[in-house]
Amino acid sequence: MSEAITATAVSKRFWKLDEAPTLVGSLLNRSSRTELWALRDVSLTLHAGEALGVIGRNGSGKTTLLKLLAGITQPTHGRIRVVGRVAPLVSVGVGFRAEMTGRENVLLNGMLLGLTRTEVRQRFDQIVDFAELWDFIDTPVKFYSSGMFVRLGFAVAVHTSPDILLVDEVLAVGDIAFQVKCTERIREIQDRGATVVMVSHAIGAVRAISDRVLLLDHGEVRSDGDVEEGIGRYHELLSSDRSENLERVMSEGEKIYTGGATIVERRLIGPHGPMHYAHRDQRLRVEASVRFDTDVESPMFAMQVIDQSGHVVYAKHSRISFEYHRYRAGQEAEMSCEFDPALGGGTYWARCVVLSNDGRRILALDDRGEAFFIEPTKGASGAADLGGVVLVDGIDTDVLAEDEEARAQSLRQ
Amino acid sequence: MAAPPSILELDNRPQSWGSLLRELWRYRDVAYELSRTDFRARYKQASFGILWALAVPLLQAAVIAVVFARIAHLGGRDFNYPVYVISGVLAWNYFAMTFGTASAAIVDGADLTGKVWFPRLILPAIPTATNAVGFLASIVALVIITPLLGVGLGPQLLWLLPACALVLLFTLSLSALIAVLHVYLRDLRYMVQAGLLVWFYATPIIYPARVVHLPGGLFDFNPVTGMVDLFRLATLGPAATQAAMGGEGDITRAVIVSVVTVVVITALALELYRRHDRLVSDLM
Repeated sequence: MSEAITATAVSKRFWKLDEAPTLVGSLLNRSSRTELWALRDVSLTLHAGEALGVIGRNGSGKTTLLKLLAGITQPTHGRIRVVGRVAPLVSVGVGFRAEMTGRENVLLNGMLLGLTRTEVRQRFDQIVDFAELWDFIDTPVKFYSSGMFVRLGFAVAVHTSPDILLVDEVLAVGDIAFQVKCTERIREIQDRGATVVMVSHAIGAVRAISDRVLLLDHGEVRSDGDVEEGIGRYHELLSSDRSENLERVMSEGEKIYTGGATIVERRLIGPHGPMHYAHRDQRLRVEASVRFDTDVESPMFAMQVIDQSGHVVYAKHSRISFEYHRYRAGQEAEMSCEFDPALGGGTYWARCVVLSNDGRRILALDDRGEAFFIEPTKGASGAADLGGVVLVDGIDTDVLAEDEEARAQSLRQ
Repeated sequence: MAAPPSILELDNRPQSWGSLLRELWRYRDVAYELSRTDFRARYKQASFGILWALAVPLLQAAVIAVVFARIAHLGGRDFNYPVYVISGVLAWNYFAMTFGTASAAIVDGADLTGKVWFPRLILPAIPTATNAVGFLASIVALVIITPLLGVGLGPQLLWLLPACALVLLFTLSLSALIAVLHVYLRDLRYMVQAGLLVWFYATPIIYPARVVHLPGGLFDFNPVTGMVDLFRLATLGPAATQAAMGGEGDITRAVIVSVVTVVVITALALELYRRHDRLVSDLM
């Protein structure tokens, strides 16, 4: 396999300025600047046909990496080599002019993405077909809804037949049906042998497309390789961010944190072993090893599920009948809790808590929690997934939609 | 079918002169399309489109010609003042209008530069090109108006070609130079506006150079003087042009200053783009 992308010890420095740089300011020696390393010593080799998902928190350097690969900026140290035609999908509709029609914007946008005028003309029908915008193609885009705008922009980008497709977050926009279409289209491009680099917060999208994950943190590579491992470590990073917040939530009310026990180890187990990604139909189990640091009389064990904003969406305590059980300092206990993740799509944390007998003191708080991602159910939204079924004239609309997708699939083949 | 794969190689060094020029050539169609879109978008709303681009500077020149001839008595018997003013104002107007927009084009184009690569020199080139359409049309109008104002045309009209070329190149190179500096010095926008105001009055456009007695032909060292002189040479002819300049002025010297200035600024601008082409988006 030939190398499509090679980054050798790439670092990128930005200058963070307190205010816009001015001539007067620099003459008066007033401008102060601090350096900011968006990437540090990042090396990466991507073979043609590979699909890399780049994940990391905000400011971890993901977008900078993409901009370097797109040639928008150059590295401060190190070297970058990109072989092949690059389609930078850093945002959709680059160069779109509001007062120009869809037709005119397709031409300009396509050329900005590296097509020749003739190539855009040849692909024009396909592009408009994909965007499903024939009715509005001669309307100025300022009259487009944001969904239509995104559809047109994306349609152009995915029809550039690139050797390398760089995707930044764009899948997070548009309606679900169009998102699915986009993901399929990216897979098609991939199947034709193109290399894909995708930056996203949407773990679902990363999983759907990548066969390799690069985790960046503060501009450094934390993990490069296995998708599950990368996502797991990303969730660890996320939960370390939240620990402070979680502690605050826990100390609210009458409970106070006193210590007295430590959670030594914890795991999140799905039907096929440790996991961080689940469907609502799969049963999950949290397991934890607790070590008591002092003698404790009849403690309470609890499992909590916390959502992205730090709220406890579910909690389960051990039964009070578990009385008269006494742990000595140094003794360990194994607890586990099985539950149905009937939650709306998103990232959650499952954690274990050990409380005093009266439930007023927290002895051990597994503040890092184990993160997991629940895949959103099509057509469902809200905090919980209660498994609703919509019938119209006695027909299950979900089944209908699946049939239609299957039919579309068979038509394509 | 199988074209050689394009290879992008980046490190912290400035790009080579060859690569700078190759990239500009490779993106010529993009530059054209961006300019065309800019032009169409600009005149789409106005019902007479391009006519406005033509009418406004002509009207402005006409007003100045009438007002200053009547009030300030800046004209003279030995040259046609209205033609003198109109030819000067048209050239200046194109330069000033374009320079004002183009010198901020990279900063104003941040939504493009952050998302897609193309040589940044294209950005200041766009208003230079779109405004040139109106400018060239107004020069055609000048050729039509000149005999109506009582000045016979002659073979000296050919001077219009180098005159226009010089103005276009000067506008492009200076705009390009300031546009990249503007990224690093954001107050240049205001300095450009202020500078243009002073520059307008420091150039013999509405007044003939002979009414202001500058020692040693100092006017000729203003690069715009040589350019407006060429427009007068083309319309009024050498004798009347020299008369308006007065004894101190020397048209050859003024044109040489203009040409040298354009060459120097172009070289400076290209050198700056060679070093900063892929860095300007970092500061947006």
